[in-house]
Amino acid sequence: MRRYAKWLALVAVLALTAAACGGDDEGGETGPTGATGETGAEFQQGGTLNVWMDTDVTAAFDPQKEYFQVSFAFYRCCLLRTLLSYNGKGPDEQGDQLFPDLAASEPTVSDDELTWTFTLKQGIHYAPPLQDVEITAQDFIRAMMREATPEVAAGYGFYYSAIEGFDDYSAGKADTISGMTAVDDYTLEVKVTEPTGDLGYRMAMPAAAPIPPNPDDPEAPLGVAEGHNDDYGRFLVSSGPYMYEGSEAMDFSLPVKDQTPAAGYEPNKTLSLVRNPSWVESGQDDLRPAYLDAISVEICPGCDQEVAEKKVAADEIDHIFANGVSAANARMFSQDPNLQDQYFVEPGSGNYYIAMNVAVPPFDDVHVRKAVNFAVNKEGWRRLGGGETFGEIAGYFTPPGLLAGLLEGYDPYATPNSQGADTPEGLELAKAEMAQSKYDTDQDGICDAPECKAVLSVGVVGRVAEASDALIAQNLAAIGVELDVNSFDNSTAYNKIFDPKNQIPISTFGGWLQDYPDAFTFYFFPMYGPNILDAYNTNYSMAGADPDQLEKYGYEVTEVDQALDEKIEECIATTGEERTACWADADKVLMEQVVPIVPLIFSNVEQIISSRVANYTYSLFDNQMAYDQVALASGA
Amino acid sequence: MLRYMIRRTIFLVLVLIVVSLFTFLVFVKLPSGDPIARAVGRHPSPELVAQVKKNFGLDQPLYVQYWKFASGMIPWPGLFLDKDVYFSYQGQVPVRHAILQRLPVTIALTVGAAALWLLIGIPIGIVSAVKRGSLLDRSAMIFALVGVSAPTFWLGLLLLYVFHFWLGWLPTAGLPQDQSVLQSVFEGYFVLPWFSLAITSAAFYSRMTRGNLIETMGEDYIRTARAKGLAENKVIYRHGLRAALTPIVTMFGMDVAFLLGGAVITESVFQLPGLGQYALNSLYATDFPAIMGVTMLATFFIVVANFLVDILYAFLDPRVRYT
Repeated sequence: MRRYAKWLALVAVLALTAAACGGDDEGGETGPTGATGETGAEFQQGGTLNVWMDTDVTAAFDPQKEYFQVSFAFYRCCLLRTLLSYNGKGPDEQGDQLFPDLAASEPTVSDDELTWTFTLKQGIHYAPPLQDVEITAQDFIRAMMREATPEVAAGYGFYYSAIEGFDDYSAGKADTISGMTAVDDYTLEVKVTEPTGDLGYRMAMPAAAPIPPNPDDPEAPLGVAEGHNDDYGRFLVSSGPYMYEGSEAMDFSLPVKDQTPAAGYEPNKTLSLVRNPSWVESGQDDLRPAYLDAISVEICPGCDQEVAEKKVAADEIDHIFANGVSAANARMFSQDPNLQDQYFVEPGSGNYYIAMNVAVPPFDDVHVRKAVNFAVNKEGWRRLGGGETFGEIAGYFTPPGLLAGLLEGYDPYATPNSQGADTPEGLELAKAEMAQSKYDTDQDGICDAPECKAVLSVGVVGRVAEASDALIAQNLAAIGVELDVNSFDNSTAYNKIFDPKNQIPISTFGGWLQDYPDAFTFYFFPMYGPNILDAYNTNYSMAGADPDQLEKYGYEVTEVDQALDEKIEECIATTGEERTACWADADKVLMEQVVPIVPLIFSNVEQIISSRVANYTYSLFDNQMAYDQVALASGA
Repeated sequence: MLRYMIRRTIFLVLVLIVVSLFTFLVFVKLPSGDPIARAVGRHPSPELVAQVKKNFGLDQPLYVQYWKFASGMIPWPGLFLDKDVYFSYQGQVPVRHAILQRLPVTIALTVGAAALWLLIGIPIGIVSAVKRGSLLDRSAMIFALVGVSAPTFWLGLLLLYVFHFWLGWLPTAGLPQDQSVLQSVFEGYFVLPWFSLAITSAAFYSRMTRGNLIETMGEDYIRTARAKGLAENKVIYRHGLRAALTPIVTMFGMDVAFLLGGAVITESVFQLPGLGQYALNSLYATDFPAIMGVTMLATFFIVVANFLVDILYAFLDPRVRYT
């Protein structure tokens, strides 16, 4: 045996060298290089990635209905291509930038910024069973028509109201969307009613992905989605590198009730994606190397996530598609030398904040709101939530990635170590601000008006949330604001703050996440007065409410600051660097003039992967590992 | 007997109606969650909210909503849980389809665990009763105490970590997607869940068997049997055990039926896509049709099990007669 040892060692060294070079003797094939043109390593083509999810998507993958980050991630990486899309990478690799996807190039925008023209790539076909159907301009119009069809009950039609005629079509006043024209098969013209600098982002959302015509019923307005108002997601015809397993068996020539969905997606159970042969034949695409042959997802709602995390450590599954990692296993992955390379903390695209209702005393006084900003111990709040991995302490509202770092270091309510009233300096700053308030009659920095007693605070139940609420209550008590903390389960808590008539003075579980990498999505809903809704309202602070709204919802306060509304309207019409700068200024107006919130942190995203994953890439757009960039290690 | 069966069938229907009414009131009328909020996104227009309500049938008067669910249970002209009424808000599939997908997993889990706890619990109970006060009896009762005290989730995790992650003797949590439930059973994927579920019940059954058997063995007819010169084994197994098992059969029927409605914790720990997991997710997602569907199915199982147990009584205990 000993005499073979040298040969065995040599073979082992050669094998290791081959592996290090990314080669694979058995597979042979290697994939393309980096998606955006940078030089990158070559990775093994093939294999199946095993994924575990603790929750299913919300509308069974219906692209017009899904308004959920999880589904957005699967659409982007795997199932749906759009005119423009993302490269599935992080903040340092242009992960927040748009690139042409089904479009052949960047869109051209008319001088008045009201007409956008997209030129499509030619020869790109849908997945089976429609592998003979080429993607054309009319297919994008069809998708928008479906988004506007009331019976579909689509999730975010408001993003497309800017398109001329979209609302008329939705209201049944027109048979087509007048602002969308298929000039020819490969040219799509989109007219908007007002300059909309982020239209490109909106057209990169899944709802704008093309829906194919039904070859057996070419007159069907919604193509293959006709008659599938409730369940198109299960009949989804893919345009991306992957499709549901069994897609080829779908038969759109049958009456709708006799059609059978693809077997590869069983809601709340399994999602099995296999390579889309049309994508390969169409010459693949520039954004998605799509090394894997298949992605197998076990959907296990309500299952024990810690067990799944152990399975990642044991290489039994490769990735968990969930919000964060349990504290115990995060510690295991971050501290075990064998697992450290499989643990990542990534910048998210969201924030957490405390919302103060600017129309309810004592928070109708800006000095009280500023005092609260000085008083809250953000560092303590973060520590209770898990420490540094939880996120970066926020001095303002918009995640820094969306502002190109323009507000780096900006924090108008900075206190030593961000510990607020738990430091003498922080307490003094908070008191100095409170002393200017009308609710501090003796100006000693402690609110002494009855409005500061038993102030209703709505939070959510849970060990961490309740401890955090107790900390906030303690901090506010130091300046005389006594909170009556009420904790509810998530749904109940949201139902309370969703209704502006409830006039909730303060809520402690606010959080916002981007829909796409533009600050617009952070302002237009939670901070813009005209968008306050009677139900499901997300402007919990009533920022920018006008007197009519305040009266309608029964507020005694008759007027609130509307400066932010004007700034938001100004920013909407801008583009490029001017737009980014405008949103940075809007954040300053929000933080210094209107002050409806206390920003707490910009959230991070923890990821764990198995040792089988060779090319981990984090997608900033959807805040998850990008499955289109992932490769498996040689031999995995 | 026929009259009895007709009476019980009417009773079954009545129970289903009452349970459906309560389920409807608790989960649909007084829900803590809001299915509309899940479906409409974060900036819904009033028109969208109205449309989703209409699509879900939540714009109808309450009695109409209830009647839809109630009539959907009638297996005519379609099947039980009519697919148009019991259509999942979240999964956008007929609830019946989702249930049928998961039922084999739950049946495999229940049948295996039930067999196991009977095989463990009853012999231990018998030995303890027969060898009352012995070391064997004391050991068995310690097992019973520990078994009854161990929470299922803890036991499940412990078994999983020891026998899979540490020793690697048994398969992991979850089921392979590319094989049938039966294949998974044969490959041992259910062994740990079975034990996890069975140990607590086995402990309980052993205590029940022991107690009942000790009590039965003190009865007059046992003394008579012994006086007649019957062998002790026959006295125990033919006369003693038969009577002692009667209440256990009742309990067994109910336990099995209860598990067929979904073993939530075990399915959660071992990541088994069964009815319990489906029920739990439906609750999280405030998916009313799914909640109603699973609850009604579980109720159906329990009522039917109760019925079967009553019939079985007659065979176990000659004193029971049906009129």
